[in-house]
Amino acid sequence: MISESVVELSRWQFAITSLYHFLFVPLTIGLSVLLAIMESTYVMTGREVYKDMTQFWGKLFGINFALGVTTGLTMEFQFGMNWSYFSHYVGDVFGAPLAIEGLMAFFMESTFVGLFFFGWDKLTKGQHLLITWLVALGSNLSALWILVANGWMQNPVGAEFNYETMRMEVTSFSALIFNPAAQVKFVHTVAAGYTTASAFVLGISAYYMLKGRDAAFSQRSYTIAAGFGLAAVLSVIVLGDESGYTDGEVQKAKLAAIEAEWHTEEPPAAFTVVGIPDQEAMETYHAIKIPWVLGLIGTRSIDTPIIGLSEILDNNRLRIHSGIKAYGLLQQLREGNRDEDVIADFEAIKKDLGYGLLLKRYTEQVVDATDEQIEMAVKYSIPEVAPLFWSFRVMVACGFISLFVFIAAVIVSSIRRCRVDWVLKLSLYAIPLPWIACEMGWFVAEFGRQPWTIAEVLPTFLSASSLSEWDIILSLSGYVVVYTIFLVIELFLMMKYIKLGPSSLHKRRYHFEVDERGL
Amino acid sequence: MWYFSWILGVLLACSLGIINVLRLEAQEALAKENVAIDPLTQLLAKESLYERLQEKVDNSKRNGMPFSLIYLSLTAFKHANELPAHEMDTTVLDVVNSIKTDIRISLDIAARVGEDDFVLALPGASFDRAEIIASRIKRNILMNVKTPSNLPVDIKIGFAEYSHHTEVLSEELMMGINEVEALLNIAIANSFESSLA
Amino acid sequence: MIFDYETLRIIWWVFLGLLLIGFSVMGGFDLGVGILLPFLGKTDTERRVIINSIGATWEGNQVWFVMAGGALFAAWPTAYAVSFSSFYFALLLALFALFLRPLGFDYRSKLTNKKWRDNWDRALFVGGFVPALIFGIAFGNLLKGIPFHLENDMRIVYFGDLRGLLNGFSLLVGLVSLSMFIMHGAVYLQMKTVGDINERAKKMVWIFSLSTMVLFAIAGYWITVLDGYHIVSEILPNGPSNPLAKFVKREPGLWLDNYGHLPGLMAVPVVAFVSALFTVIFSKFNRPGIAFVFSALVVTFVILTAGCSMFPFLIPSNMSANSSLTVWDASSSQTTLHLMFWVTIVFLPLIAFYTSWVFRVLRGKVTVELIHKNNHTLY
Repeated sequence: MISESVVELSRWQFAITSLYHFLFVPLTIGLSVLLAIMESTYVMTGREVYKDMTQFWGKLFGINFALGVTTGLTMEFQFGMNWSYFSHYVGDVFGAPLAIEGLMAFFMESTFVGLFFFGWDKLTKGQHLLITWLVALGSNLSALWILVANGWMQNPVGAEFNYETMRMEVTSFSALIFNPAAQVKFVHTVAAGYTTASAFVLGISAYYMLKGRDAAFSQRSYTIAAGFGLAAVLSVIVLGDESGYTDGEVQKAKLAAIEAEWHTEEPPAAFTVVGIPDQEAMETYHAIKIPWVLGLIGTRSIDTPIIGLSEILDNNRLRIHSGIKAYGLLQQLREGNRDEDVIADFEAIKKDLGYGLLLKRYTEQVVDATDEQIEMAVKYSIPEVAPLFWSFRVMVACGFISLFVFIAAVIVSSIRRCRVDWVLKLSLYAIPLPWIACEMGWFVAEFGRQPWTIAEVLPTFLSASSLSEWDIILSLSGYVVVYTIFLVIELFLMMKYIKLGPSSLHKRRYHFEVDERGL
Repeated sequence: MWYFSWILGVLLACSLGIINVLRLEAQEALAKENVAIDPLTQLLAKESLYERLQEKVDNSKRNGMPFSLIYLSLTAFKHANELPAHEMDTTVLDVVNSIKTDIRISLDIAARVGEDDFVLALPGASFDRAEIIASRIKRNILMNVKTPSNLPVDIKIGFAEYSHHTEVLSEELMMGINEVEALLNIAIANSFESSLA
Repeated sequence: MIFDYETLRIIWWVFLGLLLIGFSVMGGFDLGVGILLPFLGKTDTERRVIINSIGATWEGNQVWFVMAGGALFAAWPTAYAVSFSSFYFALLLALFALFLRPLGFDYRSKLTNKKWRDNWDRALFVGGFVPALIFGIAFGNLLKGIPFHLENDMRIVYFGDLRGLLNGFSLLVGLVSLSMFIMHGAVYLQMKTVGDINERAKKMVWIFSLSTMVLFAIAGYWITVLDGYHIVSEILPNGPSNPLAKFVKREPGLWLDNYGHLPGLMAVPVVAFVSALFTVIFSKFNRPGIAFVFSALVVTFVILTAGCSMFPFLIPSNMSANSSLTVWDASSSQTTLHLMFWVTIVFLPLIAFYTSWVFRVLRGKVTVELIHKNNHTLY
């Protein structure tokens, strides 16, 4: 049994490194598409200003992309380094999408990004445009495969446990790829990336316009970002709704936890806007509810109930009992027993094996679990509600505020010179919102799946590598220190180039170069 | 299926971005066409000038960069030498050409405000810089431009700098005159008072 | 399913080797160039020449490394789990060194401050040196076997530490890998530069081809006395991946077993030596393009030698030999190997095609004049 502190530290490290990685990824995903749009407009109209836009925003893209790659290396290593049991137990299924991510997406993205920066003089307009689109496609496809992998962690379809190899093995790749959880996560996440990049370009262009700088350049950047961003934020909200609906079908405990649905209500269930959830008492204090809303958006019907946590706990108790039996049968099989009945019995209830594994937290043998231990496991089988409840609401709030900002931006961009100062200021201050939403979103996704790494199959506390506490304390501090230094450097450079604006291209037609306009 | 909808969605979103900016381009092209131009010199006419100058003033307020106006007049010269109209036309064109070759940028704000009066805007130019440029213009015209009857052209030239510290400006503003007018008034006044070499 | 499990396993052993070789050939010269940077570039502009010789392509090359890790995870998940958790600190060091590269390349020339640039140059050196060394140390330890044990539920328990990894043989293999990557990088620089830098690179090719040959020979001799591993129980090449179901014996000199069975394999290390010789010859005769082909062959055949010696072992355990991971019991399921085979067969040629197109577009020398002309757009 791995010590609890090792598991906790490993979890903290994974959370910190992945949240950090996701500071840079959405901007890469979205900005690559925006660059492609800008360059397409350049090729279509022939006007130099669009080429300048592609090159300037491309510089910022490069500064961001560097850290995206850096922090991404950590993620690839971390599965094997810190979660070796997980890597063995589900590697047959999980490893494939990661490898495909490399073959299909990373190679394309990384090979062409160099040409994007250095190939302007060596390629025709059309060739360079194609390259930019391929970089965008590459970054979007990498999101696809990693989310197929993560989607499988949330809803492990198309795979089965094999007692001879002690791991999950693939039975159907198409089930894996078309997993509804994977599909909706992918579209929602890339839409979030598009929103993030649009907010970035929108806000910085607004800053230039507020300062009366580079009007033609910033207006056009603002206008493109507003149009693209509005479509993006609408999609992200709609797909967020779709994610909730999918959770209602395949991850009921997560949905119930996010909405603090302690008990199954009479459908259609009410939506709790704010409140103080209490896990012990299984109640939400000072709740402000809107009747019918949760049921309608969560199930898209008026008579399908949203399963409450207490009902889920009861169900889990039954599955834990079944899981204990499954574990017992597994032990027999591992000891060499190949009796047909034993195999048949095991195959029938092996889907509950994960629930049996929950008891390993209290007793190594599992089969000797006392009623008290079983009750503890039952309580442990759902995630903590309060953090999920609040992070979800913060994410949604950020989403809706961003929607308002983009609507205002589109309206303003149709007024000549975009001279509506309060909207420009709002655009500037609204830059952090999508970032906050993205981080909250990942928190909801991962924390909401606890106590599992693979939902209902492999508990988190079993998934970690058998390292010592000091191993992880050292690596965790290393990451924190190094990442903080990198972030400071990156922000410093980013700010410098933002302040310089397109004059950093040294084309002699922008703000700091042209105060005297050749006079 | 969501993967297909992603492809469609991205194409739609990209189109929205491109359409939005193409609309902006069309808007600007239209605005350019509708701007009033003086037929003889192809410079801006008086109405368009005011609009453009107001934008420049607004911009100057935001970015804190200075901005100057130059006012040029041939009226006094014409009256003094009693030149006929057709001669004036040629002379005016020559003067405009001289200015254009002198100031090596495309004059996006250069206007003919009266038959023989012109206004140029110099974004980014401070008072001193404007003075230097004004002197140079006057000197070059004097040396290089001749009327058809071979008289050297002596123009009246004045300039003013917009900065929200200019006291004179604020006096006029208090009287209810807008900034652009006030600036022009100062430039015109300068052209009579100054004795630029 | 047109291949049987045994064939798929062998195919994937080959693919894994291909990806490791791919990384070493493509990414190896980038590492070498990074190491040579502070020595071959005496002025800021010279250093920019060196950096820009790989500036546009290094990122694509690094993906071979990411891909090797990904393929290991997909096709040999237990090996991935054992190696990455056991080499924890070594990998952490390599990882932190690798961090310095994306930042170093992109950020270095964005400010003109001398201290800023010098520090990033040092960072790029570390970013080349440390991974090159650790790559070899890791391989050396694989040949020696690492002290791990698999429990009945397949939980991996590792009993070693960082100091244990830094044993004599592994350090030697680390030096081999360091030396061959520097040689490879030097040949590339000879190809892409002119004048002083070109001359300095030529000297380095000489020195490091020689050292590679010498160190490789010493390592080769050492292997003959090193403990090797051999499966003594019945092998079921089509059976499920259960490493706990076999018996392994461990004896000095067993790594030469495969050469005994297939004497033709002796050609592999010989080709490595001969290629190193030709690398020097063609470099001296100012044909760096051909020299580069041979230096790539050196890298390829050195790694192949290690692989051929170890087959079918992937990760031997010197503590609990029966827990060793081999080609027959550490692979993914047949379904996964099969799918990944088709994906790889489709995409690898495509990748090779567009990668070579990119290199073709960027062909030509990087000179001091080029840097001055494009001062603000190049790295």
